Amino acid sequence: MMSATQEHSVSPHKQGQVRLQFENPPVTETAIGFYFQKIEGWHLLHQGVLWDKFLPKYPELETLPTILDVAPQQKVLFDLNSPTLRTGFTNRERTQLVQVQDGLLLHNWRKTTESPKYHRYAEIREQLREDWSTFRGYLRQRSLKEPVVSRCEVSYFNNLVRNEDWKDFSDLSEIFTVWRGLPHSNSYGTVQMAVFNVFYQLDSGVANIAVQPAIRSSDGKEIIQFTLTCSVTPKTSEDDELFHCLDECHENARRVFVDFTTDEVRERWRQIK
Amino acid sequence: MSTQVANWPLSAASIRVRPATASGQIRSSQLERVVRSDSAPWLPSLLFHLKILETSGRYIPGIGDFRIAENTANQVRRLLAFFSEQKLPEPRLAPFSGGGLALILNIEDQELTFTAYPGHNDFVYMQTNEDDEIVSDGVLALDQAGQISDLISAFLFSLA
Repeated sequence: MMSATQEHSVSPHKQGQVRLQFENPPVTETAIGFYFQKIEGWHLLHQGVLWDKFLPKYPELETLPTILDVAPQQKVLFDLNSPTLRTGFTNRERTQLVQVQDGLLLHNWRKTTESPKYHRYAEIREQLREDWSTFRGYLRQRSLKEPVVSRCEVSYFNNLVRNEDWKDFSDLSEIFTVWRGLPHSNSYGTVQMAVFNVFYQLDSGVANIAVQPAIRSSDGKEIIQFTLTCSVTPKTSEDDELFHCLDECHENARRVFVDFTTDEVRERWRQIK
Repeated sequence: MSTQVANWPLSAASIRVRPATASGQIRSSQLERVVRSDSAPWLPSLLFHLKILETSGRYIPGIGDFRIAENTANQVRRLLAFFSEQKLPEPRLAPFSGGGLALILNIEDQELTFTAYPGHNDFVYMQTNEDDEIVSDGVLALDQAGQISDLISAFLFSLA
């Protein structure tokens, strides 16, 4: 989405055929994958056995907080004989992560100082395809049912570092088109901190934009984390449909990214038009 | 045994977990760790005050130098990552002459203080009880993540 090597066209609406190519894209991590209904017969121990299948590429293991992600009408069931846990399988460099939980499989990529090259959506999609194939192969091997996917999702995490990408929160209007704030006034002064979260229903799927202050744990830098998530509900759980919906999520994310960021800031990220 | 979370109150053998709404959950980066205001509600306020100390700290002749260097502020911000892992009240900041900065956690007259000194990559910590007696103290560096988390957990546990 925000790479020097991307050449996909953006939405045909206001931006026309714009190529998003950045020398210094703000994205630091990308997560793509599928949410599905709980699989009958799945047990936490399966995650341990499944890791064996991922081990050659992802030799590191970590446990992550469980994601509770349910529609409001649904009831959430917790089987105490098999608690739901999220596990992460990572490569040695900790730049690739497979998240597995009864109900989701996601692939994450992140940029690091040692490995700064941006990984395009197409590359991460191929990684996910492999992970998904490994996962489904395991289900078949164990005679478990095929997953019924309820949502395909793409998330981009963009870290905007203070004194590099912005100085004060009054700079937000130079970054985000939706943020106008209020003009300086003696009665309320200047904006000192801002948090906002926007949801959009698109023609296909939903987009969520969250902007909030944060701290980057690795170096203690103050950042604004700009999270962009797009999801699409697939009609079936066939692979072709799932990856088609994922492509739609990606395309939506590109359009939303262009709509929500100003021309100036994209120019600063050295977009080549 | 299954338990319906939707029907609180729960039976004794249940896990109390509040489900997020499907459309209302902001995704978190998993590999690049950050501390965000949705997990630490006091974060915006604390960052604001820390920034004021960084930008408006003064050298007052005869009184002291209350300027906070960026490195010292970064150290304190990195420490805040450990505070966000637990449900805590807002920590307090206390600058002192010489460019140092203390991060103070105060609950029921008991305190846990981490002090950062300019040019140092570690913190001096001190836990005191309600009679201001020292319960524990020492020096910890940021790469001693387990010990820092344990110290904060022990402080909370001592209040229970």
